[in-house]
Formats: sequence, C-alpha cells, structure tokens
Amino acid sequence: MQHIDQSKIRNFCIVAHIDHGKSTLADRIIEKTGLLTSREMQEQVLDNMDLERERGITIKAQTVRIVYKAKDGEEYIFNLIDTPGHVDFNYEVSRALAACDGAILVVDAAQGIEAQTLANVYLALDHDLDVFPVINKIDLPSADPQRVKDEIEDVIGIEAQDAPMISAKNGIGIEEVLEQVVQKIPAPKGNPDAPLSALIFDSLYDSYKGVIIFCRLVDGTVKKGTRIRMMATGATADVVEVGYFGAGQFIPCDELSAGMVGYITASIKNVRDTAVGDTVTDADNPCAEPLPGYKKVNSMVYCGMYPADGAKYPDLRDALEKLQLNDASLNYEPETSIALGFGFRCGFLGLLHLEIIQERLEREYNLDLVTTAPGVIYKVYKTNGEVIELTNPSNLPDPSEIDYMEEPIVTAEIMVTTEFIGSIMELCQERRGVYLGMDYMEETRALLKYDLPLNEIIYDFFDALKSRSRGYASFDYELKGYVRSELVKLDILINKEEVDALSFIVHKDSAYDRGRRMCEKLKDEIPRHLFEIPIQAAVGGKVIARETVKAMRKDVLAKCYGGDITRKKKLLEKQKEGKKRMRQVGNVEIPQSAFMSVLKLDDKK
Amino acid sequence: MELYVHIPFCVKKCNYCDFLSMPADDTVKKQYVQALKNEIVFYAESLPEKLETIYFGGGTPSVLLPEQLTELLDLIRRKFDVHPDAEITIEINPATIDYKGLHKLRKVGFNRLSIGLQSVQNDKLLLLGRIHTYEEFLQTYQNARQAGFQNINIDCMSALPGQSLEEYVDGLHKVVALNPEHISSYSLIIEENTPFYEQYANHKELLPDEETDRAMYHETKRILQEAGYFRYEISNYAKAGFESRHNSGYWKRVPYLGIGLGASSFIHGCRTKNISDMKQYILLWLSTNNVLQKSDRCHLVKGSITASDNNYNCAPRAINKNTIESEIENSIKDVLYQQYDEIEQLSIEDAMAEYFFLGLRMIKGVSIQRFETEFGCSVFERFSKELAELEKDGLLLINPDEDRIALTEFGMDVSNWVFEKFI
Repeated sequence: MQHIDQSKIRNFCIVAHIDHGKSTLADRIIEKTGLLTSREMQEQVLDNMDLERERGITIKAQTVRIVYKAKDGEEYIFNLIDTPGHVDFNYEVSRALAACDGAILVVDAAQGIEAQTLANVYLALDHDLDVFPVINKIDLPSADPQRVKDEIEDVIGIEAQDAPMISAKNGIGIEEVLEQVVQKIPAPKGNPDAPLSALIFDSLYDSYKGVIIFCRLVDGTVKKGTRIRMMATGATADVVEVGYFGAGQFIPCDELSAGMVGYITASIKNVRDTAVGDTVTDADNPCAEPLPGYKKVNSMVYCGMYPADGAKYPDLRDALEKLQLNDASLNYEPETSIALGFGFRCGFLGLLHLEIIQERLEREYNLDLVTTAPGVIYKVYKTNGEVIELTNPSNLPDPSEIDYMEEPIVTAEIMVTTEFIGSIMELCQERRGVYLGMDYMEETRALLKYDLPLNEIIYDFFDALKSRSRGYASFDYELKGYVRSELVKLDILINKEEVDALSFIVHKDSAYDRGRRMCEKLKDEIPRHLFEIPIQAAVGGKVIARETVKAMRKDVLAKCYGGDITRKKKLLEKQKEGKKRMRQVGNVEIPQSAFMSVLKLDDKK
Repeated sequence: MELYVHIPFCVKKCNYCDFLSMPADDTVKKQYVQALKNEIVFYAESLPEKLETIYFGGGTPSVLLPEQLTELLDLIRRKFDVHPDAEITIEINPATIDYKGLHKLRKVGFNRLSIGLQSVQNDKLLLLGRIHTYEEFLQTYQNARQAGFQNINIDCMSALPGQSLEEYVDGLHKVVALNPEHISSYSLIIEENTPFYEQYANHKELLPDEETDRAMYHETKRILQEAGYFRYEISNYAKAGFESRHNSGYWKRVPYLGIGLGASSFIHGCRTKNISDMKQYILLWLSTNNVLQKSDRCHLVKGSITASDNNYNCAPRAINKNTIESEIENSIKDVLYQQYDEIEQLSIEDAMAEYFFLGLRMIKGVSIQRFETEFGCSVFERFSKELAELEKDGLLLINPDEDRIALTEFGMDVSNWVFEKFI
C-alpha cells in the first residue's frame, strides 16, 4: 500500500504569550491556504467556544489540516495544532507540542518577550521542536521589531534576523510565514511499516461517534477495523473511522500513517479511556514501548460547588457529568455542607480551569452557583502513620491526630519592568515566596524567580500582580513539589455556629490577617437581624478575630396610605424573596453573596 | 366607600418628595379641574355608593383656587350620596391659602384640615425645600382656627439631616402647645428619584443613626401621650375621637375610590391606579377634547369588567390577576389601560397579607374573629408557625380574650420584619 509522502508533511504549532496574536495568525494561515474564504471565516476559527472568544484565550487545543502550494511548486500538507494558552493547561500544551515537529514563535513587535513566551518556547525546545520566530503587529505605532529581534536572540538564543515581519490582523507577511514553515520545520520521519504508535494529544466526546481521539501517528498505520489499545489506560476498541481535520469538520479517510495528524473513532464511551499523552497501538501487533512523557493529570485546585437553589442539585450533577465527558481533568464527587446543603467537591487544573467550568455551568446550563473558597491538596501525615490527601478543609482530622502537614509549592517566573520589581517582590514576600533569583532580559525588564506555595497564588495573586504592576507583569508557574508547612484550619463562626463552607486551610502566620479580613467582609455582607450576631474567626477553637453585626433597631415604613399599598407590598415581597434565597445557619440568614465575597479578599485597600 | 381626590400640583417640589406632584400653570389647573369633574360624574353614575369620608390630598390641594376646590366638593356632594357626618379632609400647606380661602373651604363643607408643617426650625424647612417659614405656618394655623376648623392635623418629620434629639423634642413641644386635635410624625424616608436620594442614599452618616431615630420615635410617643394624644397608628396620634377616619379606612381595607391623576382605588377586592401622565389624563376626561367617547370608558365593578354602556356586553364573572391579562377581550383591555396604569385583582393570599400588613399598623391591631369571618379559616391554622415565632421573639401580642393581635413596642420598630412573615 502506498502511504503519503512524509517529506510533504509539516506538523507544527504556534506558541506565543497571551494576546500576541497566535489565534489571529492561525486564522490567516487557514485563509491564505484557501481552506475557507475570508467571508466564511468567523474571526478566529480555531477558538470555537464562546468563552474562548470572549476571553481571547484558547482553552482546548484545536487542529486543522491545510494544503499549501509552495513556491517550489510542490503541495504540502500542513497540520496546524493550536495549543491552549494558559498555565493551567501546561500538560495539554506539552502533549500538543510533542505531536509537532516544529513551532512558530509569535512575538509582539511592541511588547517583546513575556513570561509565557519564554515558558512556551522553552517547552517547545524541550520537546526538540525546531522553532522559528515571527514578529507580529509590525504596523503598531509602538512597534520596535529590531529591538524584539535582538531580544529573541539574546534571551532565547534562536536566530531571528530573517524572522517574517507580519501583521496577522491585516494579513501582511503571511506568505513568508508559510514559506518558512516549509523550509524550517522538518518533515516527520516515522516508519509506516513499524507497529502502530500514535500519541493522543486531545480527545472530544461526540454523542453520535463516541470519543474522537486526536492523535499524531509516529509509526505504523491505522484504519477502520484495526483493534487498538490505549497503552496506559489499557482500554481497547475497534476503529470505526479515521480521518483528518478540516476547518470545523472531520473529514474521513482510508487510513492514517506515520507522520500524519488525524482522528480515530472507535465507539469509546468515555474520554477517561483516552487520556491525553497516552499511546494508541495495535492490540494485535503492539509497539514495544509507549511513547515517552505520559502522566496522569491531577487536579491541583479544589472547591465546593453548590446550586444556589437546593432543588437544582440533580441539574448540577447532570451538567457536571456532561462537562466531564469532554474534560478528563475535571473531577467531582458529592459532598454535603451544613450551610450549603448538597453539592460537589470539584477538582481543577488551576484557577482558570475552575472559572471556566463555573462559567460554563452558569451559562450553558443556566445554573446559579455558590462556590466555596478554592483550596489545594494538602498532605496530612497522621501520628498513626496514615497519610491523607486533603481536598476539603472540613475533613481535617483532629489536631491531636496530626503529626505534620505538607503543601504544594510552585516555581514561578514573573516578568516585570524594572520599576515594579520592588512592589512585586514585596507581593511575593507577603505570599510566603522564597526568592530564587532574577535575570535581566534587557535594561528595563527582569525575570523574577520565586518558589511560592500554591495556596497563596490561587486566591487573587494574579489580580494583585496586575494591579501592582499596572498590568505589565506576566506570570507563569509549574508545580515543584510538596514541602512541610505550618498549616492550620481557620474556622468562621457566625453567632457561635461554625459555618463549614467558610473554613479553609491557611499558613499559621497568615491566619490572623486572613481571619480578620474575612470577619470584616462578612460583617458587611450579613444583614442585621433582630439580635446581635458575632462573627468570629477561630483556629483550633481559639478565637483570633471578631466583628459584630449589630442588632436591627429599625425596619419600618413610616407611611402607608391608599396610594402606597401596592408598592409597599411589592417591597415586602422582594425582601421576603431575598431572604428565601439566603442560607440558614443556626438562626442566622446568610446571603449567598457572603460566601462569594470571601473568595476575593483584596489585600491592598 | 371612601373618596380620595388627588391634586397633583404644588408651588415647588420638596427635596424629599416622591409623590405625583408638580408645579403647573393656571391653564393646566383649569383643565385638570374640569377633567376631575368629568371623572367624578362618571363614577357617581357607575358606582353609586354612599361616601363615609372624602379626602383631598396632593401635592398641595390648596394651590388650586378656593373656588375650584369649592366647585369640586360641591359637585361631589350633589352627585354622590355623602353621609351627613362624613369626615371631609383637605391637605394644605402654609402660605398657599389665606383666611378668606380657609373660610370658604369650611363653608362648603370641609371639616378637617391637614397642615404640612414638617419642622419648626426654619433652617430645616429650607433644607427640606419647603416654601414657608414656621411663622407663616403659625399664621395659617390661627387663620384656620378662626375660619372654624375644629379638627386639625399637623404633619411633622423626624430624623432629618443634622437634627438632634433635643431639637426635635423641642419642636414637638411647640406643636403640642398649639393644641391641634391630631399630630402625624413621620421618620424621614429617603425615596428614590428625589434630590435627597442623590444626597443621602450613599451618605447615611449625614443622617441621624438608627438609635437616634428610634429615640425620637419613642420620645414622640411619650411626650404626646402625656399631652393627651393617643397613638393609634405607627406614625399617627390623636385626641380621643379625632383619629382620621379616612386614613383608618386604608388600614381596615375599607373600599375607596381614587379620583384624579395617578390616584389609587380599592373596589371589590381590586386595586387599580389611574394613569399618571397629565396630558393623557386630561385628554381622556375632557369632554371637549376627548379621544375616547365617554361610553368607551370602563371600570372594575364587583370582580368584573363593566363598560359604562353595554357595548361590550361583559357579563359579570369571576376574575383573577390572570384573567385581566388573558381572558378579557383585547378591546376592553385596551380601554382599561387607557384609564389605569395598574390593575390588580387580589388573590385570597394577597388579601390575607394585606389584612396583617395594613391592620397591624394600627395600635389596636387586627381582629382574630374578623379574619375568620372574612377568609373562612382560623388565623391560628393559617399562620400558626408565623404567629408563634413572632410572639416568641417579642414582636407580636396575641390576645384571644380581647380578640386582638397587635404589634409590641419593639414589633413596631421592626414592623417590616413582622409583615414579611404574612406575605
């Protein structure tokens, strides 16, 4: 059987810092190669979730195959794999990169290199990709392409003088980019006759076809009827269809062979069986070893999610189930809170992932949610030798049973202009950061390196970073490991009753400050009742902060005559409706906004 | 039935006022009076009920000429069956009417005056945007007495910006010294869409705090009680026998007909509110320039929609809120909405809620028996949990022997909290 000539294939991706124009360039490439006319193009074809468009970020990797007729007269097949653009999805990014042979590095001609530029380009170089730079937004008044080229050479160490100068937005210089793809990105070199090995870099659940596996064929071939096995999960299935990616559609073909990028369907019911990073092989003729780099993705951030209206619990469960079909990194299990009723403890890759899921639940499934403060996974070493991975603060064992605890630490890289170094260092210090070092990128910019506890950056670190650098700092991190830490559980008592949904784990040095701010916030959120309500923060039964909601002294309409009655009744109805939606703890009604308000305790007043 | 006549005019709008009221020129006033007359005639024919009380409110009714007011009351007395002992009140503001005017009003049959004083301090009057001084009020009050008014209410306000408890109490003593039959004292409400809202809604610190507000309220009760005034409603005090019968009707859910711009009515369990656009109102009711033939006008009677002639052939039928929206022929609905901004047929739950949130405003509270008679179930069955809880919290006084459920003193301070339970 004749396979497609690998020398005419180019598998590549685009890496960039957020907003540097990655998706726009992808759109132009697709348009230029004639796959879609510009009229048919909706802006940024590859970002196909509403949320992605709104936030201007790519959440799921998207892939498209295009045919390019180069100046040498030959036709080339380009597989463009668009990677997710956020640190939360670093592992997915790494697998998408592993599916490529080269990468286009897009750098903004005005802003130059940013933290994610570096993180992504290093990730690409780690995967032995050939990277060539492209200078984008050259038509901006503030563009300084020569400075950016020098910076790329100095900081990253890759040749940049012949980098295409483009404006993806206005379609300038795209031809040059395509030519360089042909010249600078190597063709794949797999063996089509070897046993099948294909790397899964994404998957999608379709209600008709089941799971659609996105993969890069490294060696061998796969076609309808091949019995495949996922080497890590062990799942097996018979291939129903293979094909490649048109723009926004799947195009079936007879077979996929070494060097190609495409999809496989095999009536698989769950994306958990087709984990990103796993190797697909022929069950009857397996390859000797799986492809390197697979790891199980673990949730890093947890929070409780509860329906605002308790009756919507089944709806929330159904919605989570559906989202999970397409998102193997979303975990959830039922939990019960005394304050919030029935809900779920959900695990996420990071805070952005959490926010995305929350927004999708609210928008696509029309649910009103109350979420508890996000936390990380703590390791609790008990005196009896047992080790617990703690995701819900309420499950913390009695202090007498705890030997010690560990918390996750990340290594963070923060790119910042020199004028803000002081305030950013101060922020990292406040967040219990350990200074590792600083590199100057150029005279005005530096890259700060810190070890930071993950639980200090999942709250509002990003917001704080932005506000203290007037939006100029950029930030990237990766998990380093666990370290022993003096952690305590901070409880909130409202009218002497502990509110489980408000408890969280905090470093003992931050407990007082955090507790005080929580009490202050809650004091403003909880309406006056007929009696005085103490709000207390306590650690191990010892109160460390207190505020008081004063008793209501007056709630009266001085006037109510013939013309007022309908209006006053509506007022009373509205008040009553508001109270209905509150959560009752003991004899205190707590508005849902109180639970949400403590999620963001801005630390600079 | 009670009759309310709305006069939506004033010399100048006060800074705290959100009532339907505006300054207007003589032409508009004249047209408005004519429109009122036509509306009066229309209802006198279609709702021929006996009137127990009549109330001219505003706005400031006394910005109309005494002759105009006289004509209106005259017409009412001729067209309606007015009870010989009817309480007939008119609201006036100081410096808008002189002795002669007052004398005319008294002669035509107004027998109760409600004078808006609000404060005895001229700087506070200025702050409130009032158009008169305390001295002008005194003059008006003396004139009223001389004109023969033997039933006078004085309106006061408490919890004004920058007001201390001492200042307020001092003012109240001055009012008591005048020996009016009735005193209303309202704690300032910051209403939306008023200049005060702009100024104070987000600056509560400029207003007396809740503690001071309540101290003023409690002092009012103490001082007035010593002076022989009996508190019969949250903000109303009267000498024995001088409680406002008209206003008490609102709290007892007596039917009332509202005439005029934006006026509310409560007829046969249906609450309506007249349109509040002056141009439309005048167009609707002026016979010389009407868009609707008189025969096209509708009104709500006995839970049914009745056109004023039989063109629409509406047989009486049971209606509820939804019927109004869905079942009535559109033509009638259109006509109704030319007259009314709001139409609400109360459900039995609505009526029960009103029974409490209106009735409990009165110090003597509500009758246990009457609830049963009116709604066919025992109040202790219907609201057992609510009543027990409110009694336990010291907000309600429940006394079956006296056939009475009433707010306690504390219940009065937080009455909304109590009322909500019955909604």
